[in-house]
Amino acid sequence: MDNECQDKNNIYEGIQKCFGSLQVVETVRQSKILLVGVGGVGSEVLKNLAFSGFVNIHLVDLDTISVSNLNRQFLFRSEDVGKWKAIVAKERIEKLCPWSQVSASVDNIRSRKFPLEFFKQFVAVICALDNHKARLYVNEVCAFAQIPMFETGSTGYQGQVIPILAGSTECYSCEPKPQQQNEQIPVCTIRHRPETVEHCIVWAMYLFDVLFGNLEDSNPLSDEKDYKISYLASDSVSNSETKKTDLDEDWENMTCKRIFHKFFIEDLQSIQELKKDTFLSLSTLKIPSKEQLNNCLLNVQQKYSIEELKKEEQNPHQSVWTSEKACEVFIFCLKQLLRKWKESQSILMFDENDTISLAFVTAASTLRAEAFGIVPKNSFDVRGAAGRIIPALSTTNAVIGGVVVFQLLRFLSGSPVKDLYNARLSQVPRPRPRHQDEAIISPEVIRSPVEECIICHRLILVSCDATKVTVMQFIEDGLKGQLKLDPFSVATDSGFIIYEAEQDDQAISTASSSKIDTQTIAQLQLEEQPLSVLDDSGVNYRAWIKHQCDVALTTELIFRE
Amino acid sequence: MAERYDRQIRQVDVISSEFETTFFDRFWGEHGQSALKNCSVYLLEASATGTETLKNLILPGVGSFTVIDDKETKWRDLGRNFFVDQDAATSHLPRAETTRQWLQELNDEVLGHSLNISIDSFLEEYKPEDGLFPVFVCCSLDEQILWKTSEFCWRHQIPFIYAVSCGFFGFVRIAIPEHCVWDTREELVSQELRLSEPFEELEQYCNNFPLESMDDTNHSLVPYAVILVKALKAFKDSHQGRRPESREDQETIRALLKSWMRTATEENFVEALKHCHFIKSSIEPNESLQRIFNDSNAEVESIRQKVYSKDRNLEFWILVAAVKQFFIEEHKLPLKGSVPDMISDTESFVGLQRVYKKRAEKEHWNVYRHVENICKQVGLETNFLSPCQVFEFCRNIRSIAVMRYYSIQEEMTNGSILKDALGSCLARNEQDAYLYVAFRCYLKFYQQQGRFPGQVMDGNLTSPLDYEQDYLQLVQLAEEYSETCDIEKLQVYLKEMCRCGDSELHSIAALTGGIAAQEVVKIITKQFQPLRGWFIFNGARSTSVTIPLCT
Repeated sequence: MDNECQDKNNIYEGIQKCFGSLQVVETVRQSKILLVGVGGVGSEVLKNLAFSGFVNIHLVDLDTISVSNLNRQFLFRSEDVGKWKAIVAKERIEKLCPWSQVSASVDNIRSRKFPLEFFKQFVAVICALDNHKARLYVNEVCAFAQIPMFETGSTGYQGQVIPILAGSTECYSCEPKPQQQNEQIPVCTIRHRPETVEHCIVWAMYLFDVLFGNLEDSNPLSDEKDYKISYLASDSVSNSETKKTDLDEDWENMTCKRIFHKFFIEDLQSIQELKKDTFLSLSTLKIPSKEQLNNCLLNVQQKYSIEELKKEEQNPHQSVWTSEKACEVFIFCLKQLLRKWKESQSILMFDENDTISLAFVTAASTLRAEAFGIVPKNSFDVRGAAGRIIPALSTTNAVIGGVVVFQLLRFLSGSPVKDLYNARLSQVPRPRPRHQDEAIISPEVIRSPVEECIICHRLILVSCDATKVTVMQFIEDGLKGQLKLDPFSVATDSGFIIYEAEQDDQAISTASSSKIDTQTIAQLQLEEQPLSVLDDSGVNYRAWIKHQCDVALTTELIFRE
Repeated sequence: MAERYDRQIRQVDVISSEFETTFFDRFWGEHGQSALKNCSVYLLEASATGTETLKNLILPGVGSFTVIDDKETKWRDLGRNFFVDQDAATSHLPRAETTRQWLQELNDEVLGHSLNISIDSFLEEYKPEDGLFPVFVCCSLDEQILWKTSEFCWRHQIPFIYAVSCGFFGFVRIAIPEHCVWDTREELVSQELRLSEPFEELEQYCNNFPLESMDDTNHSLVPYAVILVKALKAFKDSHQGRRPESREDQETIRALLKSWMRTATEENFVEALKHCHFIKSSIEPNESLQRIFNDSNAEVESIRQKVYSKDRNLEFWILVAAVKQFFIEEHKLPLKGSVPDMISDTESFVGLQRVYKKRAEKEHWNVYRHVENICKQVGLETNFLSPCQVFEFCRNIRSIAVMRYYSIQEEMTNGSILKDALGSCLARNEQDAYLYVAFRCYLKFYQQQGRFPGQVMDGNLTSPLDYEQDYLQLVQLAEEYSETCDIEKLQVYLKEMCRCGDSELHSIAALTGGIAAQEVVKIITKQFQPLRGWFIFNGARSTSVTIPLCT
């Protein structure tokens, strides 16, 4: 007979013994943990949490499972492809660990559906995300909520775990992260001699930036700034005699033509010339013809729709586009983007989750790849490449997942966050400086917050009944009255300016004044999201309006000693 | 199938890029992936650490795996091991088959087997599979099994990886008589361009750039490699054919380069100044490669022996011998053949690339002839190695390595080896090295008592745990190491070992499994240098240490 009892306690045996106390077991059993992201690292973390005896785990993830996830995200099987990660992960863990109670939200963590109160119910947050923006957000919310967060990262052979308690340790935004650049690909390769489809995708993304975006010097196409849409537009403004709609259409067609001609005919022709000179044994480039271009311009509007393109981008098995189709989609997207640009009159940022931007880059990269005799990729794969999703290895994920959950256990057994360590992992020797017997996992002492960090020093937490308090009251009574700030402007992260003091101290600009005088915070949907507050003296603050029914307006600066 | 692994195949060298590659694939490349596919992993004891290790090998697509375990699935496995289920625990199903089933679910392209037999009988019955490369992962805390299995692997030239976790600590040890790394993935651009001794075709090519008469635009687009070749020539011309050697010479060349610049910011010249030391770069081969060339294994006689004994590094040594022959004749290593990115116009860059590529091809074919010769001499078919394999080897010649580990037997019986290894860690103040000694005492305790220090046998959790007796016994066992390390400092670690009992914490097991699996990948793909001996993770501090047991 097996002496071991069937009791659930079994799973706590190791923890009790090693940490030497029953208290830890109780804490683990009762602590609610929020896990943001159930990808590579997230899957590992979830498994480790459940097997460490955590009962209450909440998952947030907005992604579906794709084929390329299967080589490291062990909770998912091929039959799960297309389903929600959070849901499948929840079901699998609950089945394997009957003691656990996992709940799941399929949503963006940045959604206003997750108010501050939501975060406050957790003892700790584990952040297993793959993108910078969302990480910054979670870092900020955890600071507002004053709960510890464990930040994880896994890229290739490297990984790290950073425990954060804003206000007392260095936080995720303390050190500006260098933007991921495509430095590793030579400029020449991108401009003149792409060898892989990735070179074409990168080129297409640069093209997007040249036309619509921020033109940085690092952009290898930066000498084509004449083709910036804003320049092209100002060119044609002069002949404003024609009827407006005609102008729009003509202007659109003309611009499309110019752009297409420049980047897919002229440029390729000059590369062709170059190659001839160097006796390069390459076959001739496949350059689209002017006829093809003209045909496209005629009837692309009827042929494509955003919905269809969206459907395609979600299918990993869609076939790659023919050059005809790529040509048409390119023109279609270009027109859509031109309109979007005209409406907003501001630069457009490439976003791999935006169907039109993605289709634009897919089409452009397909045309370029075809020209150079390279096999193109479909929009599903282009999103992977363009989103700069840095690939992860199951081995690295496993180590990071192990370290972070163990750090969490140490925290729950009584170690303050600042006494934990930042753990850095490198499964292969790090490139310089290195010495032979270098540690694979090395600890770094957790530093204090950086002086200039807004998150660590200047957070304003506002509690009020958002359905009753007007925006004006928030500014006058809260920011000015209670905090004695002299706000210059208040804005949301999406760029909506809530309030702006006029230069000549004439109180408020008229356009928005009527609105904020009468409307409540809830009517303008300003609660439960981070806001930027710029003080008159030029000091930046971040603010969060926490909605609580029937609560009088209180405003406080967190972290003020 | 390809799609599943897309992201772990590394980018193939630009110049030889005939394969469809992806943006991300800089991990282990097509060679690596096929090596993985041709590998068979044997897991000896299905502990949590063991199944986690297998998990991380099955996901990326190892060829096959076999779980060897003669125990029943128990309730306690449920709380530790992800790859068991309640039914198996209820019906006491064999742990080997239970874990095999759950592991198999991860990837149906991998062949999974289970053997419900003891490790002893497995070792008696084991026969190598045809065409598959075996690796043994041993996870037993039984010292005798560790001894036996590692000894077996050593004798059969099977890579041996030991991976266990207890309490807060994880341990991984690699033991292979000889492991040859085909690509350590360390780039040494300076030596790959051979600018200190430009070859004829390169010098000819450089004549296409009359620096003085070029217009400003073209002048600012001359690749730095060309500029440096010209600088070297100018130096030699004005110094009776002498090569630059001293610091002063270097300064002379810098001054020369500066005098050639049309503006102070001409970028290609700035690059040339930056890479100025390439002209007098150190002599090849470097010390470590020199040692490999001088290794007796690179002698034809020894290779003949290897053919006879079916040595797993036969190909490696044939190739080393061939490159060595090339070196003896040419006094240099074969060119890599690629050119790093540099400021230039496309035309010049492509031209430069062609010059290097053509020359490298020529040299690589020469090496191939030596390979054919050696094969003939030792009684192999002349096409034993394909030109492709030879070229690949030539391209990576500057980043090969040979590692020879001490066996577990040597480590356990030869006190001075251990003393040196531990000493080197303690000298760097890596206190975790004490954990190694504590762990050895822990294993010895188990061997003597049939239970682990601090292990409670009745399963009663709430009773106060009294380790005192066990601890004192561990201290006694530690006496053996009084020569090797400071016993007083060791005590705190011995206490920790008592705390562990026989507990395997899942997160530590998962972490250890991640490390062990990555080492297996390095060994199988022969890329990157694996850990040089024992790896120890200390969860209490998130630190790790490697105790070197390798020459």
